[in-house]
Amino acid sequence: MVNEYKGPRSKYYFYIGGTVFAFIVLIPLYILVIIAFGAPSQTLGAYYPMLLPTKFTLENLHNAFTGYGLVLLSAFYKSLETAFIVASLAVLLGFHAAYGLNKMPYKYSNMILALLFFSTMIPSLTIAIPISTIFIKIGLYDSALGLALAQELVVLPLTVFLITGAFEAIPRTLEYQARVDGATFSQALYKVIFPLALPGIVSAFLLSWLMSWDEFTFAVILSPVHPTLPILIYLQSTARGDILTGTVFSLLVTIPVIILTVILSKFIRGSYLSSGLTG
Amino acid sequence: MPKWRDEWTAYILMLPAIIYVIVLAFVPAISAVYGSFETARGQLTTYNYNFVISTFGISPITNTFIVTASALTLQFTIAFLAASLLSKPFRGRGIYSAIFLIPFGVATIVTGVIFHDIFSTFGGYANTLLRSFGIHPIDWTGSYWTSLLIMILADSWKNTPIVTLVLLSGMVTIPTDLYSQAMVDGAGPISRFFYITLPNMVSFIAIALMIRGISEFNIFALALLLFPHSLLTTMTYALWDTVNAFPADAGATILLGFVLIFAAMVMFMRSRYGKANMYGK
Amino acid sequence: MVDKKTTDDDSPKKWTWIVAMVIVAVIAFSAGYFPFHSTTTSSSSTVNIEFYESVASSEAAFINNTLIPQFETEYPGIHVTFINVGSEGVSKDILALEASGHVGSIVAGQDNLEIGQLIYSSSGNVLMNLTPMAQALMPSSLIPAAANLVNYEKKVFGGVYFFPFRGNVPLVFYNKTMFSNAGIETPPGNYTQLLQDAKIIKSKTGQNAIMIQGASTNGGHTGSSTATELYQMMVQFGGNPLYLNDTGDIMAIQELYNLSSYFSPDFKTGYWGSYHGLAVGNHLLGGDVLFIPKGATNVPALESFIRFLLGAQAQRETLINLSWVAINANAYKDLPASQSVVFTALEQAIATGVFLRNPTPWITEWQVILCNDVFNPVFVTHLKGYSDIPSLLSNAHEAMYQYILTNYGQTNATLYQNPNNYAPISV
Repeated sequence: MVNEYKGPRSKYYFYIGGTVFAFIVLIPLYILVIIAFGAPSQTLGAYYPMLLPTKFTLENLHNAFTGYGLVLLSAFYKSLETAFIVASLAVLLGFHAAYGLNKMPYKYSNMILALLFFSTMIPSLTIAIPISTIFIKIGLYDSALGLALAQELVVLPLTVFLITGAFEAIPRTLEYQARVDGATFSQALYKVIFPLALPGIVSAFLLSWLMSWDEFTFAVILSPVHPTLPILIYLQSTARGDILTGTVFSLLVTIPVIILTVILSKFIRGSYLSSGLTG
Repeated sequence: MPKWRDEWTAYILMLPAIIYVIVLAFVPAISAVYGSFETARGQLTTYNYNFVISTFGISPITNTFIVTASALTLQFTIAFLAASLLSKPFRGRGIYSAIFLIPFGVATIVTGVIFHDIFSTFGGYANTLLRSFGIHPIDWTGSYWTSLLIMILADSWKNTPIVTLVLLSGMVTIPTDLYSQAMVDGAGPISRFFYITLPNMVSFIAIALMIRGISEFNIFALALLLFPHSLLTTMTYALWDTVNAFPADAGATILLGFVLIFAAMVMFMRSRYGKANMYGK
Repeated sequence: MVDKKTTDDDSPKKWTWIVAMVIVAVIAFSAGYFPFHSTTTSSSSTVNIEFYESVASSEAAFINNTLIPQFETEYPGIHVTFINVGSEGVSKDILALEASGHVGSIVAGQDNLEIGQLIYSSSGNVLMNLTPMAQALMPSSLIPAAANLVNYEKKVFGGVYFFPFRGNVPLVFYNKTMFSNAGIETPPGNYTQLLQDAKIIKSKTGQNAIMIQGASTNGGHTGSSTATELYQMMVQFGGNPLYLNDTGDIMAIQELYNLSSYFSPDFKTGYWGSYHGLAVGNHLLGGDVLFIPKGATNVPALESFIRFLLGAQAQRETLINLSWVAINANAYKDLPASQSVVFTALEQAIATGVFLRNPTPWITEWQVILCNDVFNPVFVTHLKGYSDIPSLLSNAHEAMYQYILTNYGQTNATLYQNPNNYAPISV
């Protein structure tokens, strides 16, 4: 009797609730699309813009691309390059760091994770200038690598945390078994543990990638000559810019995001985020 | 010489990440804290703090608290609802969860632009909607509370997914028998929530609070675009002067102080109310 | 993202996702790597220089598409890359470069109020001393205000460190239709008339018609717009804005208070692009200046570019196409009649007396104090009223004095107490 504590009605509850939520989630994206593809007279130019515009136009995209063509594409690749470096480095450093933390006594690993988290507490404006100076000194000004190294700071704590959480799901005996069966340290690490932690690693990769794609504070200081996409958008959203162009750029920035987030949702587990510090 | 233990290799592997973070985050942070007590002419004075408080008053501090508290409340409320929705299996759950995650990836700048477009007093979609229902349009940027609302909505839209993620992972660990038993005993949904769900999820709430809370105190880009009142972050930004950055250091240190207090409170809450580690290390 | 309690059994599907992502990544990357990997293409004979400025995107397009090609035609061995930085970005970028020691071939334009940050920076004066080349680079036909700026530099800094590049004369824009509907045929010529007109418009339409840049330091856009507005007003009333509470300053704020009954409700979020100040009597010439950071390379090429930008041709191009206020008097000869309304106003502004803002190192703190201790309480939160204005300004002056005393020493603080010091630079 108590097994089915939700009656047959409950299925509709899920769908209704889910659809309401999904609707709310998607509305802002819908607005982004209609502003980008709608005639300005019905969107930004109107006192009370239409919720369901009737005129569809490619003018806005055309203007944005012809006005900024080369700059836009180069910003796209700058962002792309930087994001890939950030994500790869994050996974590289994070995987090994998580392994080490996993082996530590719980007390100490907790402390180190907390230390990593403290670093996210520091207002980025305060540290952006000194860090940028260091990177410029070693010749990394305006390079994707330099920007990636700076963004790594924002990304590493969460990545380590995430992969550490993924490790929790791997039974400890597995590694022990492998060593008993004659595997060396690196074989055990890379051939046994790595594949099992892969979903967590992929989640961390995608998460870092998305965070770098979004990053703004460091990009403004470290990458002015060949800016990244968020900078272009910001310049267009201020009074000296053109908000319509800014919206088109925003759409461009968001398309890969949607695709990658959907993929991320297949890999990420909440348990990755919560195991690290449970208890 | 003792045999090289595997643990040591593991610890060494950990070093690059740790050193990286310490050098790039802690060193500048500590120098900022020191800087807040310096002036262009000397050291160890509280002048910068006097300057900040006497010029800005405590409104940036109260505003920051209001923003943080409202944002966290909204995000956690919605996240609990979404998580409870997703915690039970049903067909199509994967699609819904993919959709729910999308806002997390959208760039903050883009979020700011979109919500600015929605809530503009003239030329915004929110007012169009109100008008179509015959309600008088609201001047969104005009009053404190409406501009606060816009920023909280924008921030929550983008960040609720990550809270949902964490809470969801916590919800599925609660055995359904507890709920069944409670229902038999006649407990309604609200008391089930407060007496079963919440106590079992303290650790997860704590983690989500840490992740989100720190970011809320540091909210900046959205505040710049959407909130015409001073926060500790925008105040620090306004104070930042390439000639004399010390007053800005004072602002940043005040912010850092509050974040540390917040983190300590969360950790205290977790140790006091949380259950023992289920994985038992 | 949803947890399943049993072990994952769709790993093959996950592997396809991973493989697909890797393939897409490799393709995207290699397609973009060679064309867009950020390197400046340079053959051995071309000199590459960079020009940093902060302009609107339409202005940036003009510079890239018209101005720079003109320069490169005239000087074929030099290639210019224009870098449009967000406002206040120029100072930050230059200082970061200076601190690193890798400056490169850079010429930059910066607001003449912000230039103080580069002169008094924590690394000292980071501008290259341009006195030896000044004669050769500057046109002989500088407008009087610009010539005076150069004289000021020589007197105060002991040399020429920057050249005037363009002026910013604030103009008033008014809605002619609204005015004629209210029965007002001519625009107001002074503040008294402005107040009267605002009253008339209010009584006829119920609208508050005055817009100012009132965003202050609230929520970003920094306080420079509001502070600049107030600076201009205080000068127009004969005050020394940096002094904060001399007679002219007090009168200006009091007059603004009278006008504030007719402020449009949007004013609290107003900044660049909404209102540009009132042209009354003496006009304020702010403007941008050109400089070369210390340690820059390829200086002869940089000099050529500066000479070009200050020359009559370039100044005329920007005057006609962007309405930039030219500092080279020769640019104003034979202007096309179709745009004469704006140009007449500009010429008038330049011909009558003008003032230049005084570059000081503590300008940011001045803006912060003025906005938070005076503007906000009176005009935004309405916690203080008309009668509080003199005391608010006096407290602001005191706060400024304390700041200078603590940070710049007694000598400078004593200098500050004399309203003749740090005054706007007059013709």
